[in-house]
Amino acid sequence: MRIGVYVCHCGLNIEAMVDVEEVAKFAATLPDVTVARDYKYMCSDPGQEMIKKDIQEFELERVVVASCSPRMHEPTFQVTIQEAGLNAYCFEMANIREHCSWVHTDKERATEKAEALVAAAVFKASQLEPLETIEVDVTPTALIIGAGIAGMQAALDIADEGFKVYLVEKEPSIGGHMSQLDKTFPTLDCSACILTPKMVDVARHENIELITYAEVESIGGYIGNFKVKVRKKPRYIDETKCTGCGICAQHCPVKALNEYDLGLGYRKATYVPFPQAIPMKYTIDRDNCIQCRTCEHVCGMEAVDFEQKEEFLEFDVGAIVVATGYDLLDPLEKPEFGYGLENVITGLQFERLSNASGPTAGKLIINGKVPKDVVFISCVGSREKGGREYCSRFCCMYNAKQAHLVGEKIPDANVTVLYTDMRAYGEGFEEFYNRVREEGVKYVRRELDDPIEVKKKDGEEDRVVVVAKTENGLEEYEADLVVLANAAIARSDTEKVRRLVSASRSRDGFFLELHPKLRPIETTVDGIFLAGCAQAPKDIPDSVAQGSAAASYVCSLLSQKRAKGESCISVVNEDLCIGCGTCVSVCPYGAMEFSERGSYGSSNFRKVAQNISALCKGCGTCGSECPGRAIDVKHFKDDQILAQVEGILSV
Amino acid sequence: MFPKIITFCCNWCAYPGADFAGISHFKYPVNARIIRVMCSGRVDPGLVLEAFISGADGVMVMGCHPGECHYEHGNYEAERRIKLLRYLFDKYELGGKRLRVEWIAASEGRKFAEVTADFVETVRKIGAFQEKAREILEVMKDTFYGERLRLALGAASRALDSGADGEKYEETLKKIAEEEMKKYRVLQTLRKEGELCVRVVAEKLGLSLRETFDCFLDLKHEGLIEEGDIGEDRYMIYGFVRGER
Repeated sequence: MRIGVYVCHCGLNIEAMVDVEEVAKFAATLPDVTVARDYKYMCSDPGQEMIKKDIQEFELERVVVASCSPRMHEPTFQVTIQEAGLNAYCFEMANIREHCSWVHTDKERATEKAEALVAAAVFKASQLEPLETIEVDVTPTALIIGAGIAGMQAALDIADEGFKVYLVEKEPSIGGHMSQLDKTFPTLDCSACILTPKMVDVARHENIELITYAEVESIGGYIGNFKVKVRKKPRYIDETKCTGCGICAQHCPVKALNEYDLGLGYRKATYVPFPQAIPMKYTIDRDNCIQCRTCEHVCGMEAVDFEQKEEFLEFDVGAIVVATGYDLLDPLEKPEFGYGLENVITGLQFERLSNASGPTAGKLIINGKVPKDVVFISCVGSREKGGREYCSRFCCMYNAKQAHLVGEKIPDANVTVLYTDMRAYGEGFEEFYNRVREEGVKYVRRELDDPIEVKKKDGEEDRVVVVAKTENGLEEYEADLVVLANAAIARSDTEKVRRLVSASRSRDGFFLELHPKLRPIETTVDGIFLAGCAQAPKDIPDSVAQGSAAASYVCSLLSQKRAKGESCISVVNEDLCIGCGTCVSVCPYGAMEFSERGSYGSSNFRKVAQNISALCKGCGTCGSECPGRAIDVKHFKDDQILAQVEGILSV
Repeated sequence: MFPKIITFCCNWCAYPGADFAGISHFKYPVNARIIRVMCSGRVDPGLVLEAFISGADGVMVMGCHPGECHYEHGNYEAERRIKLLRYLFDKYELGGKRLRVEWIAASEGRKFAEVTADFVETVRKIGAFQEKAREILEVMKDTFYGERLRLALGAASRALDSGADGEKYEETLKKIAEEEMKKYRVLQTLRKEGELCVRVVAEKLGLSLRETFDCFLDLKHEGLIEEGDIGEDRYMIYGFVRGER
């Protein structure tokens, strides 16, 4: 074996704390090392040229670069050695900057450690094997899970590029949370006015297949080749016949609380969630339906079908966008805020009250009374140390907007906002906040941990009292209406969806992006992308931006026709495999399957495990679990890791 | 240099966490040296034991926080194995604290440095391995490379997912590991000293005749030893089969 070792000074970054010349000299003494050099900047053009020249001159078979983190420059040097004719995997890096020069203070001992890291890399390099790059075909279609604003934006962008999109929504209508909002901050645009044209675009787009009142049942396969199964719940009304005339709802005798209005208003047992719903198709809520069949009789189109069954749709897609949105914390979990009292509502309930299509046609009335004293309370369940520690990001601004709306609708109202910190970070936010304060809204600051209690006012049925420690000391605010900014939390079914796509979740429970800074759209699974609040709470423009970003990732994948697979994957040595199935059950990606050897019934018949290379992500868990020690993980084989161990311990 | 510490870091959280410690210039002792693996679940307990046999004084496995594993549950697998290893290290007086599992997020550079410094200090206090440790480590390596314990360990997540009692499973793992340790100690004795009978091995290892014979039966069943002649004391002599895997 002929190995070249290249030790980088990284200017003074390494050289100041590691004697790089000494390390290069040391490397030259290691077995199999043909040439060892040090240089000021290995990643520079002259540095890379030096490596290429050496590969040719000394006929090097493996290359070791001792410099920064492989997460930084491994791809750089892999390309370098490929240009000189070596396989990209005949390369190993020793991280003597992040893991050495930057974290130690004694040059002699840091140099010794650098030598140990170089020895580990050289020993591993001598065990490395060239690997082939795997490519797979890509099906030019996409699945979007969730048709809120983020999912809709992603669907429209992908469809506009000419790719077929399956847009799956679990509710009877698309639109998501945005469709429930009244005005949007800080511009005070009417939410429905800007959303509904987009909803119509989605419904009309020839490349979008809209599948509402449906949930994804299973997802198999891998990047470019996902197999999707969707369960369409029965509406008990034939979508192809229903014209949305609403005569069924008009005559339906059953009243039920409308989920869409968060319990503030009612709908019938046959319903559309809101007047601009898309598709404009009615749904019968069988939990509340008394089966009087009036709807069946009055429907001129004979669209009602009580015998309708759930339906399963199956299709293939090349990429998936998870845009499942968020839930809001049940404020009953924070009893001190008095939710459950009739004068205490959540921010989203306020939106429905204020909305012209809401239960009070946009009038702020609680049980027939126009409130005079209104108190908003921020951070209900958000920013809790040791618990839900994150900020829900949009509450500060909707508080401000709602405070403004109160003033607009009830000019003589006294509006107080009990806030903890004001986060007006976005475009036009600070200006809007200032405007609202100038309009007379009183902002009173309290600390996050300060006690607060919302309770009924003694002797008055329609008043509550907020007792809170604030910047002014212990205070009492009497109110006719208290609005709580309850935390945005991960959807209750996040775990179910996560299992479908095999992605990961963050500590906050939302879907985890691949890198918090540089790869905020991708997930840990190739071909699966994130958009909107499924990843973390964000406001409408950020959700739209992420929807478009996810779409551009999807389009660039779908237009390539071929996708790069993982090269560092598991291989089964069939002679050692005992057919126990451990790997089949531990593999998170279903990349291990049983394969039969010999003919069934004969003595040579047996089952062995087999790796589906396109599914394998190379984590190696199967290898370290394999009872027969029959599985090796390419590029991270036992012998390769042990060589590293020997190297590290040799100095 | 003492102590020598090997830290296995997963590629997605812990390794970038260590990078972040570097970028932020958080200092920690030079004793800790990192080996990158794709997932903490790749860290075979056998590899950990080989590291100890090769001269490491402490081994840390660092992975993503629970629920954040890049590969869903590799970190839980790592934790289960290291926990079992720690138990055996304590039982055989090797110092369970030489082993540690830590969850390090990519942003937790400070935590990486603090945990590393603390671990180096912990291992320094435990001190170097005793003379006899190597033999026990070899037996433990055989145990963790052996099929029986690996079958039970590998099936753990499957069993727990389908409702098995976690504590009971853990106890069973410990029991299997201890039985296997005994078995491989017997094998090690035969391997080292040639052909012996149950009585002699039992005396050497301080085991009862019954438990020693159970080990002999298992080893014979696995084809690792074979029966030989019957000695004057009427005890059958067993010998180690050469060329085992």
